[in-house]
This record gives sequence, C-alpha cells and structure tokens, in this order.
Amino acid sequence: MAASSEEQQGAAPYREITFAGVALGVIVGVVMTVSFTYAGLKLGFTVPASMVSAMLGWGVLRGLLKKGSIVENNINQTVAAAINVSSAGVIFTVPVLYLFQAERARGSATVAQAAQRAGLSIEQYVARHPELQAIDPKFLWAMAGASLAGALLGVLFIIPSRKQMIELERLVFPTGVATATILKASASGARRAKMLGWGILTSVLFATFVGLPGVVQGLPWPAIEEFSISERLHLPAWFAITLAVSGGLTSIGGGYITGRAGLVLMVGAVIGHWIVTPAVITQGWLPDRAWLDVVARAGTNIDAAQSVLTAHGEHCRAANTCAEFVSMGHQLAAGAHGHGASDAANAVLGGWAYRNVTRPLGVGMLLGGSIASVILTAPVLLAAVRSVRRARASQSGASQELDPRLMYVGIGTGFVILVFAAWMGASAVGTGTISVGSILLASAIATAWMWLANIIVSITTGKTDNSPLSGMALITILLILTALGRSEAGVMVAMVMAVAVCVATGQGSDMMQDLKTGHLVGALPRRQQLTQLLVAWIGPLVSLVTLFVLAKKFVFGNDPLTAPQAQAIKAAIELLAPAPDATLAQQALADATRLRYAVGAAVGLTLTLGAGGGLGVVLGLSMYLPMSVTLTYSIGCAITVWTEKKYGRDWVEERGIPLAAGWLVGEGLAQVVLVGVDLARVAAGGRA
Amino acid sequence: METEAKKSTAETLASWVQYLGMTIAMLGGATWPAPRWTVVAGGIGVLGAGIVWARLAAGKRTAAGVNAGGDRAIERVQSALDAAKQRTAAVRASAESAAFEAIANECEGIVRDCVEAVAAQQESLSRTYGFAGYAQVMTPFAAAERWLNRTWSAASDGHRPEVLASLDHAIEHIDEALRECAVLTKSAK
Repeated sequence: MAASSEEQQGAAPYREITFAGVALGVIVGVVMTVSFTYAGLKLGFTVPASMVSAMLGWGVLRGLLKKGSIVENNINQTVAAAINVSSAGVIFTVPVLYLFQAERARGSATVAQAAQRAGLSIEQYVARHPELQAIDPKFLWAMAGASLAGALLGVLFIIPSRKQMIELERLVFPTGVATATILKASASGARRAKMLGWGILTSVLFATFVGLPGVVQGLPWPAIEEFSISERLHLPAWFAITLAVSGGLTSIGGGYITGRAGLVLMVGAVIGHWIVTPAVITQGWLPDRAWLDVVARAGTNIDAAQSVLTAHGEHCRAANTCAEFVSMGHQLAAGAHGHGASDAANAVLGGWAYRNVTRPLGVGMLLGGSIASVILTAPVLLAAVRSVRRARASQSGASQELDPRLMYVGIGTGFVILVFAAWMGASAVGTGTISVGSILLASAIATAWMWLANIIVSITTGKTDNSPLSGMALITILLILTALGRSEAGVMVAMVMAVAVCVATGQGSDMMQDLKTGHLVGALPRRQQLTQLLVAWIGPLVSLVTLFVLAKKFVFGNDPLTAPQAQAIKAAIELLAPAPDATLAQQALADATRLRYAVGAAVGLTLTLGAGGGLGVVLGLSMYLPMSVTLTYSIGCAITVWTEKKYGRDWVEERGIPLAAGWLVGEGLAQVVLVGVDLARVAAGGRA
Repeated sequence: METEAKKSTAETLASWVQYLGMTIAMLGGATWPAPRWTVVAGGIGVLGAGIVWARLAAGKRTAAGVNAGGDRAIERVQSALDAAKQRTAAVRASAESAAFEAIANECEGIVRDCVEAVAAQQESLSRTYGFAGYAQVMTPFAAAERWLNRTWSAASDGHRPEVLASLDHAIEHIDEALRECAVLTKSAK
C-alpha cells in the first residue's frame, strides 16, 4: 500500500491534473512523436505512448518528486498518448504528397538529362536528390490545418460514445487495461507486480532480439517478421498459416487480455484467408494483369520470364492482356520453373488476392457493420448526449462529461479549420479549380465520415486492440474523389480530408483507450477529456515538422524511409481513382474494388443489424488484417480460455493478465530503444 | 453470483448458418471481373435465415424459462445491487479509521462480485426490456463502479478524504441504480 504518510496526503487535495503530470506527459509525448515519425516512415507502424509514459510516470512523479498519485499518473499517460498518437495519422498520409512530387520529377525531361549527365538511372538520381520531392509550403500549411481539425474533431466526436462503449457494452480495450495494470501495479500486491515485471522483461528481450538485425547490420541472426507454418507443411504460399514474430508477444498479450470474446476474429480470418483467397486463385478469378505481376515479381531469376518481360512488358501493359504472361504465370505457379519460383509466384498471387479481393471485402464489411452499429445504438447515443445536457443543467460542475456547449463550439471550429485547410490545399495546386461549394461539400462529407470512422476504429480497438486506420483513409479518398472527380485539386482535397480522418480516428480511439484506463483507476472522464483536448494539437505539429526536416535529407519511398503505408495509400489512389489516361485494366480493377466494398458492406450491414454485437465490424476487421496478426492474437485468446478452465478466473486475473500486460508494455519499450539506437546511428552519420 | 447461461444448441447451429451465408456472399463478391450477384443475394438470404433461426431459438429459450429470462435476470440484478449497497455502506461506516489495504481489497471485491454480475445480465435484460432498459440500470451502476475504483486508487495513495468522498459518490449512484431497477420491474408488471 501507499508509502506516503496519511497526514501529508490528507491535508492536500487529491492530485489529478497537476503541472508535473502534464509537463511530463508533454515531454514524453513529444520525444516519442519525433522518434516514431521516423520509425513509422521506416517500418510502417507506431507504438502507443501510454504504457511507456505510465512507467516513466512512476519513476518521476513518485520516485523523484515523491508525491505522485495513481490518477495523476493517469493524466500523464493521457497527455503523452494524445500527443504521440497523431504521428500515425500524419505518416500514413502526408508523405503521399512527396511521393507524387518525386514521381513528377521522374517524368521530367530536365531530370532525365541531369541523370544522364551524372551517369545514373532516373530512379537513382531522384533517390539521391531530396530537393526534387519538395512540395509547396502551402501544402504543409494545409496539412497542418487538416491535422489540427482532425485532432479536435476526433476527441469531440467520440466523447458521447464513452458511456456506450465503456460502461454499457464494456468493450475490453486491451491497451487501456494494460496501462491501468501498470498504473495500479505498485499497490496491486507483490504477485501481480512480479508477473508484470516478468512480462516486461521477457518481452523486451524477445522484441530486441527480433528487431535488432533491422537496426544493426552484421548480426549472426536474421530479422524475422513472421513464421510460416504453411511453408513447413508444404502448402501453397497463398494458403496463409503464419504467426507474427515481430510484434508477436503484443498480439498474444492483446488476445489474452481480450479472452474468449476475441476468438470470433478467427471466423472472419478463416473465411477471408482460407476460403476466399484460395478460391480466387484456384478458380482463376484474376485479371491478366495479376499474372503480369507474377511474372515480373516472381520470375526475376528466370531468364525466360525476364526475356518475355523485356520484350513484351510495355506492349502487354498497354494492351491490358497478354496470353504469354498468363501462360508464363501459370507455369511459374505450377512449379515448371522450379520449387523456389513456384513458392514466389504463389506468394505474389496470394498477396494480389488479399490486397484486391479479401481486403476490400473486409473494408466494406467494416463499413456496413459500423453503419448498422450506429443505427442500433443511436437511441443510447442520443440518450448519452441528452444526459450530458441534463447533468449540466441540474448540477453545474458535477457532470462526468465535457460541457456539451464546448463540444458544439469545438466541432464548429474544427469544421471551419477543415474547410480552410481544403481551400488552401486546392488553391496551391495551381491547375484546375474547385468551387467553394465543392470544398464545403467535401468538408461536410469528410466530417460526417470522420464521425462514423471514429466509431468504427473505437469499436475495433475496443474489441481487438487493432485499428484499420489506413482502410479509413482509403474510404475517405474514395468518397471525396467520387464527389469531386479526379482532378489534381480533387486529389489534394482528398488528401487533406484523409489526413484529417486519420488523425481524428487515431485521437478518438486513443481517447477511448485512455477513458477505459481512467475508468479502471477511477479518474474523472471530464478531466481526461479536457486534458486530451488541450494537448491534442501538439502531436500533429511535431510530427509534421519532423517529417518536413526528414524530407530535406531523405527521399521518401527509398531506403531507409520507405514509407510503406503512404506507398500503399498512393497505390490505392491510383487504383480507386484511375487517371483519365488509365488503361482499361486499371479501370476494370477500380470498378471491381468498388463493387467488393459494396458486397462487403451489404453483408456487414445484414449481419450486424440481425445478430447485433458489432459482429460485422469484428469479422470485417479479421478479413482486413493479415493472417499472421489474427492467428497470433487468437492464440492469446485461446490461452485465456485454457488457463481459466485449468486454473480458474482468479489465476487469470492475478497472474495471466499482468503477464500479458507486461508483454504489451515490453514490446513498446523495446521499440523505443531500437528507434533510439537507429536515430543515434543516423545522427552519427551511419547508414540508417 | 450467477451469470448469463450458455446458448442453446439451436442458437449455436444458427450462428454457423450465418457464417455459411456470409461465406457464400463473400465468394460471390470475389469473382472476376464483377461479383456474381445471384450468389451474393443467395448468401445474404442464407445469412438472413440464420439470423431469423437464431432469434427464434433465443426467444424459445427465454419463453421456456430454461435459462436467464427477464424476470430472473432482474432478480439477479436486484440482488447484486443490494449486495453492493450493503458492502459499500459497510466500507463507508469504517472508512474513517480502517486500514487502507482493507478498504482497497473490499472495493476490488465489490467491483468483481457485483458489477460484473449486473453486466453479465446484459443479454437477458436487453431481450426483455430492450437495450435502453439495461442502460437505465447499468449507467448509474457503472458510475458507482468508477467511484469504487477511485476509492481503490485513493486508498492505495493513502488519501483518506478522497476515499470518503468517493465512497459517498459510489453509494449515491448505487441508490440511483436501485431506483432505476425498481422502475424497470414496475414497468414490466
């Protein structure tokens, strides 16, 4: 129990929002935002700051300052997470502008001549000249405005859902539970603290071992992302039975905390990865273009494939069909060119089917399931808003939630900032014009979608700890380009809205994780909401400035900052909104993808309206996620069921959950250390 | 505390029919170059049939009173709320001098035994009184849970005034939940 003397503690008010707690949160949040903007551009993912910050909070607030309380440390982690969470929204979207600019440079005659003079290919020349990807500063201001609007709206839109998701549906929010476990660790008894410590230690060691080869070259062991059971069983590579190794303990820990309820995720994964994807390949539901990918990517070591590609590649791309490629692709997949080529070909086919069929169906299902969830819970959501208003009217100052008047003003302000950001971005394009009416329409669509997307991401985070952020960005782009058309200015406005939606959904789901933590430690929701609102703007700005500085030194899309998520979004823009000069094959693929969204949405809507419980959202998410994540996560859920049956619920709560929370925390800590090592190497002039 | 009973075999089978319908619809949507709409529609039809079957089976289970029907569910909720009220009032009565560790342990016990027992009746209560009926009772009780958690934190931090204030708030909200429970029972009659 508490070390502080009762007389001292009792004389002063209970510490909750304090300068020390907020300042520590800001410092940790800013440092982690800078680190993970870099890491996210390199690896494609970020780590929540909440758990790391909660651990540091104990050291600083109670260890050094000798006066921290549990709820004060909760405010510290709320602040740090609110700042750091925006880095994901920024790095998934903003680099797309740089990628488009670099692509323009590759098509420029001046660059071609300069490359020739330097004796380099155009690709190599652009990769060595970061100034060629530079974008108009007005675009950056537009992005800053979009991310500010997103941060503000993301927090405000999710507040009325707190009662519904945390108090009534009692969603798990595994990261929120893990953070609460840390906050309560010092007073939870020796056994729980010991298990948490073991969890952190084993996870740090494991994640460092797995991640170090990606940072330090020349180590005697390789970097392993995942473990393929399919390969060991000699199954085709498109029949994915894989376990996550990098991030594996996080997935198992998240699954363990979720428990039995998370096992349903496996149903969607089986339908998506073990039925739909194999059916697409074995039944030949593929365009010729997919075979062209197979030959180009899996046949690189085969002379025959290379010669066909060299001789006919451009012709086939233009003609949209090429019997030679289809035939060659079939031969590769069937093993006519050796076992290695067959595996590679099947992996390419599996990847194609997942990206273009299974995943769009899953995204559609997420969308339909969420619309149904909103319909089903609308009465309770409205009652929540009414009860906030009633509480304000009857007992001013004692309400649990933020003042609704502040919410309305904030939402109005966020909308105005969003309109301004879209106008600034569109006007900076220079070519083609977009009317004010179109900008208002796009902003209204994006704001409405942002509200729904916020609910989708919060439900998926609450049920499984996974958030489909990039899927939400894709739907934003699709909605805006459908409304405005694919002009250069239209793409710019779509990007502004995508940034806003990504930042908003990140903020919303983080707010819910923090409110879950707060519920478990008895924090006052209004105080957490206010704190998050006051600091949410810091993260996007820090992340944007970091990105701007990095763009001066590195060309995004090239080693080391490959910006994988931004590349995926750029590819999706090209797929969903083909340019006017796109080939028939590209147009056909875009049409097919839209129809798959529609089919998924119809299924998700029916399932959730009929069966309830957000089932459509969860099954959609499991079709959207890679099999390695879902399978590893489900193993965690299954272990909970097994340990509960064998040792009882008390064992699970006393030992299992603290250990699982430690695994989540340790992985985050290890990533912070690895990024620190990498940044130090870059600063010292080493190759990143 | 007694918790929600398991689903019947018919409900489990109906769930699998729903998954089968979903699979058929998804396969219909996966074809190239366009979805096979008849297959998609057929799949959604099977999915719908599974949903109807599941609802009928659940209704039958409730009507037969085999498992936690509305009346028994509300009785369990009432009993959990009464227990929470008694135990919290007892903690409050001794809180001015009791050891912090004892206060924290008892608060943890109340949350584990009573709050989770009410939350476990979500499905039964929703089926009988609608989700709004469940929310009517759970909303104040969840607020009480948060105040009990705050009591735990304040006790762990050794802050007695906050412990006392939080316990008072918790009792206030449990009383509100009991009143809402009475209203719900009355409305059913």
